[in-house]
Amino acid sequence: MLKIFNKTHRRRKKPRSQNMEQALVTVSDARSPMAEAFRTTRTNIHYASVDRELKTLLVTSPQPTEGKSTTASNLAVVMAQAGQKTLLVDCDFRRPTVHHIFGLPNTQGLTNLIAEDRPLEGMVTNSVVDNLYVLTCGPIPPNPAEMLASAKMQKFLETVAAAYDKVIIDSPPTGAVTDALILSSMVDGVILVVRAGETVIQAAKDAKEKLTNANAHILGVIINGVKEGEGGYYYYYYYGDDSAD
Amino acid sequence: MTVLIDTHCHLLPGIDDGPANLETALAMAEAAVADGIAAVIVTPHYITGLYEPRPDSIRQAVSGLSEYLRSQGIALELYLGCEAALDPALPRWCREGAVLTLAERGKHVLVELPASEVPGYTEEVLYQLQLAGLTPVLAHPERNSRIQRDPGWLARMVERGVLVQVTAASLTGHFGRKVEKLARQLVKNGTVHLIATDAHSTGGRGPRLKPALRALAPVLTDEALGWLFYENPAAIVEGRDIRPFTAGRWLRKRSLWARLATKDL
Repeated sequence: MLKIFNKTHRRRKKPRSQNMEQALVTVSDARSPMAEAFRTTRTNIHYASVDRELKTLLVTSPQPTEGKSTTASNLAVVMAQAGQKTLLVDCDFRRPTVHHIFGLPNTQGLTNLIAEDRPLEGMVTNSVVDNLYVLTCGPIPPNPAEMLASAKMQKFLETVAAAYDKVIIDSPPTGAVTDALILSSMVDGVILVVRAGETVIQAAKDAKEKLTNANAHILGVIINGVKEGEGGYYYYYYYGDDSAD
Repeated sequence: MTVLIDTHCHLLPGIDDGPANLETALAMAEAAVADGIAAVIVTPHYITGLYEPRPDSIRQAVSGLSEYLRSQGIALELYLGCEAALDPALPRWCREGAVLTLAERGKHVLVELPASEVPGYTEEVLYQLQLAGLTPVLAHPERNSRIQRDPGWLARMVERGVLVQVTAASLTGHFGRKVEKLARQLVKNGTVHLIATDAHSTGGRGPRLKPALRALAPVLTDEALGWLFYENPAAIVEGRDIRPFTAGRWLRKRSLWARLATKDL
C-alpha cells in the first residue's frame, strides 16, 4: 500500500520538482561523486568508440521513472564539457521532460522538424553549457511510433550525426511501447538505465532481449540510486564493445 | 633525506578546488612549513571538462606563488606537477606535454581514479603509461570504494610496478574508520610507497605529514619510516626510480601488550 502510494506520489510530482538545479548535477555540483560517475561513463563511451564510431546514442530504460532523462541530460552535459559539440534530443513523445530539466519552452521542437520539414536552424537551443544544444520534443503527435519509424526521422538522425560530434537521444521506456526499439536500430549505441531496488529484474531482462532482437548495439547499463558504499551513487557496468555480437 | 617533501598538494590559488585566494594559499604554506615540510610538488587537478590547467599557466602560477612566499619570508620550495584523472588519452597527453609529470622529471605521473569505481580501461591505461616509460603513481586508492572491497587489485598493480600514494589524513581517521583501517593495512603490507597530504585547504586534510608519521611510528621501524617519508619523496622530486625497501625489518617488533594497548594487532 505504502509502496503504491510512494510511486504515484513521485510520478505525479516529478515534472514539477525536477528543475535544472536538481537534475543537472554535472552543472550544479561538478565535484560530486554523481557528476564524476557521469564523466567516467563519458570516458567509457569514448573508449568504446575507438573500434567503432559511436555518434548517436539512445538512452532508454525498461520502465518509467528510472532516470532516463536525467541520465541523458547529464551525459550530454559532460560530453559538451569535454569539448564535443553535443545535441540532446527529446524523442520521448509520450512523456517528454528534457524541456523541464533545461527550463525551456516546448511549443516547438523535433516533431515540427519531422512533420513540417522545417530546417534544424532556429529549432535547436544553445544551452547552459558551451557546446551543448538541446532539441525539445515539440507538440506531442497522436502517432509517435509511426513518426519515429518514418524515413524523415531516419533522415533527421543522419543530418544531426553529420552536424554534431555526439547526439544523445532520450526515449520512452522499452516496456510499454515500441518507440525506443524502433529508434534503437537507427542509432550507433544504446544505454540502458535501471534503478537499484526498483527496476524489476525480469523487466530489465526483457528490455535487453527486445533490444537485442531489434539489432541494437547495447553499450552498457547505468544503475541509478545505488547507495554509496555499494559502489557509488551511480555505478556503471561495462559489457565490453561487441562482446554480445 | 632529512626534510619532508609533500608529493601531492593543491596549493595554487584559484586553479582548481584548492585555495580560493592567495591568503588561503599563504596559510597553507605556513602550515606546511610549521609541520616541517620543506618542499611541495603542487598538483592541480586535470579532469577533462572540469579543470584543464595548461602547463604554462601552472608554471606561471607557481612562479607567482613562489615569489610571494619568498616575500613573506616562507621557505617552501615548490615543484610543478599535476593530478590527472584516469583517462585513456593520458599517455598521449603526457607525451604531448599537456599533463605535467611530477616535478617535471618525465618519470612519475600522479593518477587519480574515480571515487567509487575502477573503470574497465584502468589497467590498459596504466600499462600504456608504463610502455611510454612513465611510472604511474595511484593517488589515494584507499579512498576508492571498489578498492576498499577488493584491495587485492591494488596489490596486483603494485606487482606490475605501479606506485601507491596514500593520503596522510587517511591514516589519522579523517575519512572515517574504514579508510583509516585500509590505509594502515596497506602500509603494513608494504603496498604503499608514498604518503602525501592531498591538501586543498588548511582544514582537516591540511598540509601536514607529521600526524601520519606519528600514527605509523609505533608500527613501522625507523628504516621503514625513513623510506616512506623521506627517501621516496626525494626520489620522486629528483625523478629517480623508487628502490625496493631492503633496509631490514619493515614492522617494528612489539610486545603483545604494546599491540593490545594501541588496539593494533
